[in-house]
Amino acid sequence: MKIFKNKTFISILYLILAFIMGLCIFACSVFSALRFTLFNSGFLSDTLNQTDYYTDLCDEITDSLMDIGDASGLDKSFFEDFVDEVLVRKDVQRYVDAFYSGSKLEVDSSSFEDALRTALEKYEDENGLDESDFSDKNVDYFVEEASKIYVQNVELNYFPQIQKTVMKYTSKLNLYITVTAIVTLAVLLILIFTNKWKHIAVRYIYYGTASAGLFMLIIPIAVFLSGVIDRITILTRSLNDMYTACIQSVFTVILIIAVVLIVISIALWVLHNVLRKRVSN
Amino acid sequence: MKKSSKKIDKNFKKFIIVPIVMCIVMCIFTVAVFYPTISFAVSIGNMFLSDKQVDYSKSYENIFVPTDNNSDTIDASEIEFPSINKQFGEIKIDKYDVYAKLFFGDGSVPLRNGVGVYAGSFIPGYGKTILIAGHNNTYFNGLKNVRKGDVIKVNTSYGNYKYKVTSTKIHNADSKKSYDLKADKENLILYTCYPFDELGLTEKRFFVYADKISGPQIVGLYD
Repeated sequence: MKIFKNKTFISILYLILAFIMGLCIFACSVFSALRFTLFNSGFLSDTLNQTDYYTDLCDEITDSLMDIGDASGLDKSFFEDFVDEVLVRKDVQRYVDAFYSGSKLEVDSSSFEDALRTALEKYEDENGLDESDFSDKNVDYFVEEASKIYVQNVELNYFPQIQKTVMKYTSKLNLYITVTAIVTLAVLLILIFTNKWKHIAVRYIYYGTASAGLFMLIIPIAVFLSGVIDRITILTRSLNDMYTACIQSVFTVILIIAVVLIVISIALWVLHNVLRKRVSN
Repeated sequence: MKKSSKKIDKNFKKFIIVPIVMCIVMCIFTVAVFYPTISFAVSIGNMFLSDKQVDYSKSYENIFVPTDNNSDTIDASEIEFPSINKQFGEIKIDKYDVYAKLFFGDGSVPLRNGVGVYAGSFIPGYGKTILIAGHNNTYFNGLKNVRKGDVIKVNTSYGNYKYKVTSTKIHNADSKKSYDLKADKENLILYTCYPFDELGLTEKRFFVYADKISGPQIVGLYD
């Protein structure tokens, strides 16, 4: 048991404990950041509302519909105010909810199709078109293609591919957060209760917290300074803005946690000095 | 004085150096343990990165500058070859007031703003098939009037071409007989949806076939 009385050995042991604590704080913070951002349906819905996603999406659907309208004897004006943002919001929100609940990802385009058929009937009446000017088959084909465009735009690209992974890790993340939090707390208690001098315990807690804070600070700073987010290229403006905003938010959350950890570390440094002075006095 | 500065040094070591060293060790440890996951995530991420910021504007690039070149040949090195969605010419059928900007590629940008050469076919001057698509409700609505013997003008920055209509035909959209991209003579094929002015998407296409009557041949293509 002599070894436990060796000062160097004890210092190394406490440094290892501080390192484990730092690692657990880091892991717990990253897992929490992910859990409350990418793995949270509320976060995605908020991001969609905060960016111009719905406005851009409605413009993109309108442009694509105008394209097939040009091949279908329809004036561009037919589609100018046709796409209903309220309906698009509802269908996208349903899609997001299905994604996070693990349900089958599909878009119900029946409301869109009904609205299109009603608008077409009105157009026929207004332009005095009769059965000699169109065939039901061609109109059905047009509605079918328009509906496909609507569904393709409402669907969020890459979501079907990652749904299973997100579902799998959502429950695992809760477990990881709990385990890392418990280990952090356990190490914290060991450091406090095995040290006769509390300022020494505070110093090791400082090491763990400050190293985790620094590590967390490096990641978002590297991402923001490298300009990698500006280089993201996704098919459409609406999707690009959405994914960019999501990634930016995740790293902003990590940056905020890093700053909080560094502020805690500074407080611990001050506390260490206060406790040390008391001991000297 | 010396004692106090020694104390500051020791404090600095403890409170600055130790967390930095621990942070570096943490970095190395994390990268070593999660290397396969990190490298997989980085390679997936790289698939979505571009060298320059993507342009989502609806504008297009125009490389068409009218020319009065009426020579029989033009060297390939003198031509600025168009890339997808660039306007590189114009098409006219004076008799029926058909006029459209000519683009390379037949996606949404070309067909919104004019007509487009199918990227699997050829541009004028190659001595091969030029397949051009346009919407029947807009720029190619006038094709319904085209008859055998009519002249179609295609102007590009490197030369002005004329083609004489040999026939018009109606085919199904998926018909393979409607065009031959391997033809050894320069021929122009224009196509659009059929019937004209009908409401709804149709399965038939209206084709206009024409043979070259004048315009410079591109030489030195395979030098």
